[in-house]
Amino acid sequence: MIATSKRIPIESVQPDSSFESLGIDSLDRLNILFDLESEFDIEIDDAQAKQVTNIHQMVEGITQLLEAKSASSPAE
Amino acid sequence: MSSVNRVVVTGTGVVSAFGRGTDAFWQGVSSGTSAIRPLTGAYVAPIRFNNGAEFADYVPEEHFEAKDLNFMERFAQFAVIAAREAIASSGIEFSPELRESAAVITGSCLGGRPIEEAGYWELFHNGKNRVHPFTIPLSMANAGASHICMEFGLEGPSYTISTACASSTHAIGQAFWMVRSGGASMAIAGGSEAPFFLGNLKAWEAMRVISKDTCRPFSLERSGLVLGEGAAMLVLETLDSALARGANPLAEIVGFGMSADASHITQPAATGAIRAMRGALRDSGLAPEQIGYINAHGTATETNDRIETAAIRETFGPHADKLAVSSTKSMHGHALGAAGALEAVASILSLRCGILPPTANYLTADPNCDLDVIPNQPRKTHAEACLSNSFAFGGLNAVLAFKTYV
Repeated sequence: MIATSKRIPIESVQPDSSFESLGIDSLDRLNILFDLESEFDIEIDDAQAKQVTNIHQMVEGITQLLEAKSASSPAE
Repeated sequence: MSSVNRVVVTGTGVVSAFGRGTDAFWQGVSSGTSAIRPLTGAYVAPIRFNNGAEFADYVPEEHFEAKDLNFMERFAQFAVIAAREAIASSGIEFSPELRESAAVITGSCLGGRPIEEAGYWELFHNGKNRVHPFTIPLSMANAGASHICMEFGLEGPSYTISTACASSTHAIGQAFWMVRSGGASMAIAGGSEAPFFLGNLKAWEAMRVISKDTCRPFSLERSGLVLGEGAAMLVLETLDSALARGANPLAEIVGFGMSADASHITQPAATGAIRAMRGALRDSGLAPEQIGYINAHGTATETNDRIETAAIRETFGPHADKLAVSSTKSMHGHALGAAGALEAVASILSLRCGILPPTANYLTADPNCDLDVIPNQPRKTHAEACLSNSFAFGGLNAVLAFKTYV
């Protein structure tokens, strides 16, 4: 998703890649947040999003949101 | 007419979240009262913020006949109401010659897009195959200027500038230069905006720059801007013609500077702001030490306030610690294309009345915004001259300089 949005090689996006090293600026961040919210059907809080500075933190944050989402949805 | 005229402001008109009129606006901002409140529209539910500076009590029918309202979106109505007050308060009477050479320069960022939104909803969702036949004349950003021209029969150079949050500062600056050079005998200049419609609120939400709290410029706790609506118009004329008809100038407009950051589409660069402030100072012939007050752009985003502080420090050097700076957006909200005009009125009246409006909602000092920001309480100070800063998304900057007229 990040590789596509930034038009950079997928290999360059590693778990420990910082957004800074990938050249991700504030507008790119907005784009990524928008894509993540659409892809996973989640809502990412502004203040929490601001704390995230690398891919690892991003994945961790998304995982938490997805876990919270499945926990709150009714059991089938 | 000489080629370089002194230009004065002889009338103001305002529509804002404080209601109709310059008096209501000035009473609000000069007392440190914030007009930011929960939004009243039906669109509130699905939006991640719920505050704004709305003119909630506005009743269009009190100002226009039904047949005229068919041709005017909310932002154009605001423009005309503000122009009516500005012209009435200036006491100017239009001769046929004056009408022919009077300029009307307005700023608006969004124009009348709500009518487009309504039409597109019908097209995309309700299977309709047509939109309202007035969609174009209602939505065009120059509708405000056109309606002012029509109402008062003004036939001189008239146009609309759209530079996002700097629109009406650019408009006033252009009008000032036009009157100063003799290109127009007088001008109605300002801006209007009505940004409270769902598509636009969603667009701002997606930018993640709107505070969920309130607008706290220069404060450590600031969390973004709060949208506002309204209009402000000025009557600009030459000092000679104002005095000749016995008018009472409110202030002199002495300088205008503009620049482009040429850097980033949303992140401001201090260099552009510095060049715009220096340009306004140079154009005015004022020494930096004569500036006692700056009405800051002060959006309350983390970046703007930090960069603007650095830019003021660089422009003014040691004098930065002696001048007072405030953001009245903390009270009237960020009215986008009308913001600069509302702030120009606040600047003019601060010189006129000897009261500097505060930065409201201020909590804790931010070391990155270490100027005298007049926290929360208005200050009785007679500034000799002031600047009014507007720095738009897109890096387009405009700064006006006003001087006390005595």
